[in-house]
Amino acid sequence: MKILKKNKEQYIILFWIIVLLTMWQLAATVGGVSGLLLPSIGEVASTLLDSMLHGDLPYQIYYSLKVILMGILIAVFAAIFLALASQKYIMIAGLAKVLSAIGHPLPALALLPLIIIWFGTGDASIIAIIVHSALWPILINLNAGFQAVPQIYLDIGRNLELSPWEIAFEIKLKASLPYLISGVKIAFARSWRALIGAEMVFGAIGLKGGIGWYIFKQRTFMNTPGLFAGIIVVVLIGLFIERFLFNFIEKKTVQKWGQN
Amino acid sequence: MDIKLNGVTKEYHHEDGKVRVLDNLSLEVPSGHFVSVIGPSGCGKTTLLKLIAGFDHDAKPSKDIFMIFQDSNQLFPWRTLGSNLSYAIMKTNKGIGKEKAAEKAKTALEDVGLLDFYDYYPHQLSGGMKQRGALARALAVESKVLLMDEPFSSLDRDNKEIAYALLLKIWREKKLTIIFVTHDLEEAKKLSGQILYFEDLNGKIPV
Repeated sequence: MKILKKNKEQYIILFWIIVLLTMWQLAATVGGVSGLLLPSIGEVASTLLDSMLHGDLPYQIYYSLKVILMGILIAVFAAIFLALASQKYIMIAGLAKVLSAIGHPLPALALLPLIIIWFGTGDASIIAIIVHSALWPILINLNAGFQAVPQIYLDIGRNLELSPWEIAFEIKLKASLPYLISGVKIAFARSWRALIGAEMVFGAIGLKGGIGWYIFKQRTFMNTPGLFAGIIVVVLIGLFIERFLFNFIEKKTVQKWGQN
Repeated sequence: MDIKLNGVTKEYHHEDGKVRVLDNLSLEVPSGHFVSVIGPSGCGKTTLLKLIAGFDHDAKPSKDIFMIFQDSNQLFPWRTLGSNLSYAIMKTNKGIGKEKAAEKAKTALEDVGLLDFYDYYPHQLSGGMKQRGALARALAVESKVLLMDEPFSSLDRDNKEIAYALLLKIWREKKLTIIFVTHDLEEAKKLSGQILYFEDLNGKIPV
């Protein structure tokens, strides 16, 4: 019954994708919409292929993925450090609460002018924006995960004579993994949006790199098919990471351990 | 290993004030004895076991006195059954190699009839198997005293009988000291000839 429902949902999703693509193609070809505003699917596909094979799109994808990975890794380590320190020291717990309350609702792009003043327009600025976007959801989730670690695991850890470090890394961190993964998922969604926006701004002021910059550049040359190609790449990478990469990580960890 | 408590008092702070759970409690269990402590739910039996195990405040628990809890989810879910045991062995026997630890884990699992489930994750095991796995972990780390907190209360009748027979066999073979807490008089009678009523422990009761 569940499988049938899932199949039905998939067919409905496929149906709507086909409807939207058909509407797009009709509007671009027989609908009288200018190709400068809405290129056909064929034009976009051909531009995308050309940019991938002969253009700089692969490099821009690599650049965006490299900086987002670095930023999220820094955010994960910082969140683990802060969450563990919060467990041990009440003053750090208070500090983490205050910083999360300020930082979490603050959009990364609002910090952009300040980050440019502090870090310039290099990679460090982009990474700072990603760290800001990713750190708070990971920290908040990890703190919730640590609070939810069953006391029985901690008691067993003490019974096994584990050191505080071993209790932190073997028990607290592993027991909190579902929370950590959820935090990283939210962090990725926030960082991905912030990254593309920041790359457009940094691209305009001299830094050349990233898919955001690629999209911005297409607009400068009024290359609408290229612009659409860039947007499609942003969507596809976002979907791939959210749907496949995180699913894969969950399957190999929390699902395999029966923790989800 | 003898267990001795002399005049222990334990209080918890609640919103309504202090609640005294253990009141001048004394208990003496000589090495190798199997003692059941019986009392109604919520009377402080778990507190007593945790106190003996050393979970209280700044005390330092050791693998010599190992606790087996009522909750069957006490194996680490991120490790397989075999890995749960190997990890416990390596942490309590510094310097032991991975292969030697795995060998000892297999022996302990064989003792409780779970060798075939070495590579299974805890969520793939039944409640009774998980409790036997927890028992195997205590055996694997060569504990001298087992503190058992209603470990079989969630099992069905058949599984309880299997668990009783296994526990008695292990107790005799390994010459362990066991303090078994339960609210079920029948269970206490089946397992040990020495039954203490929790309410009576407020004076020194040698066993």
